[in-house]
Amino acid sequence: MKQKVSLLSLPLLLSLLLIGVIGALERGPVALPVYVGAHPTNEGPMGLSELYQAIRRNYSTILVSSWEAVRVEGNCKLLLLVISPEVPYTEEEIEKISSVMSRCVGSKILVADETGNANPLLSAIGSAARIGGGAQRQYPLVSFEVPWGSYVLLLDRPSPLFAHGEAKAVGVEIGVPSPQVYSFMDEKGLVIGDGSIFLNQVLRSEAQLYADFLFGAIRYLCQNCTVLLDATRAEPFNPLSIIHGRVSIEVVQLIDPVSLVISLLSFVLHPSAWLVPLGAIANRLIAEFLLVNPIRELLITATFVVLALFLASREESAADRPLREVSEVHWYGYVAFKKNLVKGGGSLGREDFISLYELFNYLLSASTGIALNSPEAPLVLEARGMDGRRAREYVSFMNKFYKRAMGKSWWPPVVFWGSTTRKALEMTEEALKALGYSIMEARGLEERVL
Amino acid sequence: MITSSTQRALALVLLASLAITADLFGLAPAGRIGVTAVLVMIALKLYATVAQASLESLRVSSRHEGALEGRPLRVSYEICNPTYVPLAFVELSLNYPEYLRLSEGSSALIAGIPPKGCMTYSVSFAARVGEHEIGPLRALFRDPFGIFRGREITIGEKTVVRVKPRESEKLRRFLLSLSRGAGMVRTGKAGEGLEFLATRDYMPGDDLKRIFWRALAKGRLAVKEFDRESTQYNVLLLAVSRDMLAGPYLQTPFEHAARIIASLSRYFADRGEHQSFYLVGSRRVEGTRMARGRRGYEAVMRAISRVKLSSMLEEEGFSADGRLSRALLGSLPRERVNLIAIATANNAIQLAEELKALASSSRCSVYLLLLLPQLYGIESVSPMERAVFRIKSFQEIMAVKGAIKEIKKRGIKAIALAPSDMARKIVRKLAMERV
Repeated sequence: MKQKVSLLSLPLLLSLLLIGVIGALERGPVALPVYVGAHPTNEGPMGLSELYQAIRRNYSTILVSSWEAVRVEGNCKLLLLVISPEVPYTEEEIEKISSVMSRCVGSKILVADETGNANPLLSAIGSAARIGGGAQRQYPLVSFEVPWGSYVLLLDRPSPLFAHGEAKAVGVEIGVPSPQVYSFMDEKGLVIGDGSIFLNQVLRSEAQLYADFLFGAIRYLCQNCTVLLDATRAEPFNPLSIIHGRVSIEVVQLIDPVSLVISLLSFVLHPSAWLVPLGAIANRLIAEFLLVNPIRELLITATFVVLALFLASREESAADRPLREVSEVHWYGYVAFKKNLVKGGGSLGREDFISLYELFNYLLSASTGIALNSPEAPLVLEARGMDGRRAREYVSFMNKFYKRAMGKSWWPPVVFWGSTTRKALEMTEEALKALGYSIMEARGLEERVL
Repeated sequence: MITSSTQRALALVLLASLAITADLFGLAPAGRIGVTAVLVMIALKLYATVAQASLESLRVSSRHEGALEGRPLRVSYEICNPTYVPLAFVELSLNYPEYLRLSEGSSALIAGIPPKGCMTYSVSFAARVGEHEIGPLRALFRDPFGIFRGREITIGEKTVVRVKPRESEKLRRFLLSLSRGAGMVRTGKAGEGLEFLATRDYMPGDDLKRIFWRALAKGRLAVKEFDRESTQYNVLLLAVSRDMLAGPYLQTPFEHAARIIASLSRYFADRGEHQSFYLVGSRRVEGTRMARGRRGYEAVMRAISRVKLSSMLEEEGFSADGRLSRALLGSLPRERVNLIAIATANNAIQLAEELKALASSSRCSVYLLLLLPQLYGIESVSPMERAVFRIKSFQEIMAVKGAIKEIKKRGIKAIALAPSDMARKIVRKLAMERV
């Protein structure tokens, strides 16, 4: 039966997934921010997700979460959208925004702010409008006379605006004896004293007028431009504050539940969320257990020692050694072989010379019928192809030293038989080769002698 | 106890005790470390106990491939863990005869066997002739820190592997070239036949038709002799002893002899001749029944692949106690028989003594091939060492020549073989001995 082979089995996949999750968590506490206020990722009623999605559909949009990361190309046109900034701009941020805006010709702004946090930005960009930063009236009815139409809108808790230069008041309160200006427009763009009209709760409502006003303004201010939606001004919400009960139920209702659950899960899953408290609890328990009076200390120690001794006495102990491995024998009789090889202490001696002489004499006699001490021996070797002079030298050398080795002569004197025998060996090899033998080659002797 | 603590456990207990004591007396805030160490030890002990039980229920199956001398002999074990306990650190060690050599893989390893999973462990040996017992595996479990270890157990069964010798193709071809026809063999003996063998002086009773007239013309009364042709009966005999294993791996007298026997057996089989094989040692005589052709060859190969090298190491040497000659005389056919015996030079005289009775009988030609264990390995040393070795062992070689003469006096045709002698040398010498 053909076996189904799966390279990526389910257990393996799950294991890899688990390892990935653990690895991701091990990188450090995961911060999945949750926003309650005007932030483009906030899907709640106070968020700007509707606005962001609508702009994205029609314009090239950059969601600015860090001004350092904003890259714009030359010959550009920008519209900067700042809606209800919760955090004031710092000087560094103002410099960066100015730098970005100055790189593009004809850049505009659309600021809707009731807090006054955008004032430094307006000042830096050169807008004449300034935000008072404090609601004086609730739900004022405001008439907007803008190039893209006339609108009467009910604002939430707007901040009155002031002009520090030439700016046209386009949003003026109506129906009151001393109307406030809630919107200015100049060459830099439009400033409104209320950001709430751009929030999800308004854009999702059936009051289409607000959307018409908003998108009319964007259409007017941004023609073939890139929209920068500032998402750096909202403060993230700490999900732990819910666990700790520091948040009212009204605020919780404003948070997108899906984002909240994901954020909470990512936090709770990370060991930093549970391991440290767990360690602290264990530490406290142990401390409470141990930090008692000395008698109880001794009692605990004694109990522990008795328990340890009891367990130790029951435990069988064994030295941990690796399993015995088979010791292979590659050459039986190797010792005997080597012993034979180095018989006589490994050195060549007089006996060896005699053996060599007799070996050669045997082979010469067997091959030619002539003994080595015969006067014809050099001639026979020469006839077999050995150089005549070398043959005579060899025969003379062997016979001379043979007599010396056998004690028949005292001449020539020999100090070391080893060097003499070694020299004889080399000469014999040459002579043997003339006879068709070899004493040094692997196959050259026994096959023929035997 | 199915697990025991190691020396590391004692060290850890001491450390834990020290840490806890130091904390109790306010010397160092190390109480948590000590308690943690104790808890870890308890957890490891539990794991080791469970894992050891799991280890003892492992299922092991083995198989092997390759049973021809010189080829890789691959032995594989599939080890399956039927439990849900992962076995993270299992030390495995393979039992095998010391005279086998691993060519691939390791004889010991640390393995991890997943729960409900299997692992495969394979090793290869350079196969050598004979019967070998490989396995079982020995297994030992340790926890990941080596604090506790289980008891050593064996898993799986022994695998019996029989390796056949490699034939010398050169020898077989050469022998075949001498063949004259299926079933008809030159005996090298005078008798009834068609092929001229030799002439000899006329003896009373010789058939006058055989008188060699050309010799008579020169004044010599001689008769022609013809080569006797017959269907041959052959007995191959191997005398095993410890020195048969002397020499480097795969280059021992035993392997040399096995190859010669394999080649001769194949040759006999190809010619449709009868053959049998005898293995003799100091305490045993084992033989196969005479069989013809391929059946005879298979029987010989089977018998030689059943030779246990381990028992060969215990063989002191052959002793002539009459058992072999009785066994042979009781089983040989009435027809003429060629008996080719192989032995080391150390056992040759004893073996020749035993075969003397057979050699003296008219129906048996005995050939004794002598192997010289001291020469095996000479190829693996340097030329100068080789020369020195030859000088020092020259007298031994000459002694073998003397022994051959002694053996020949017993009516046995003996030749000595060098380690490199295989094909032509043997046949040539056998042929010379026949004539």
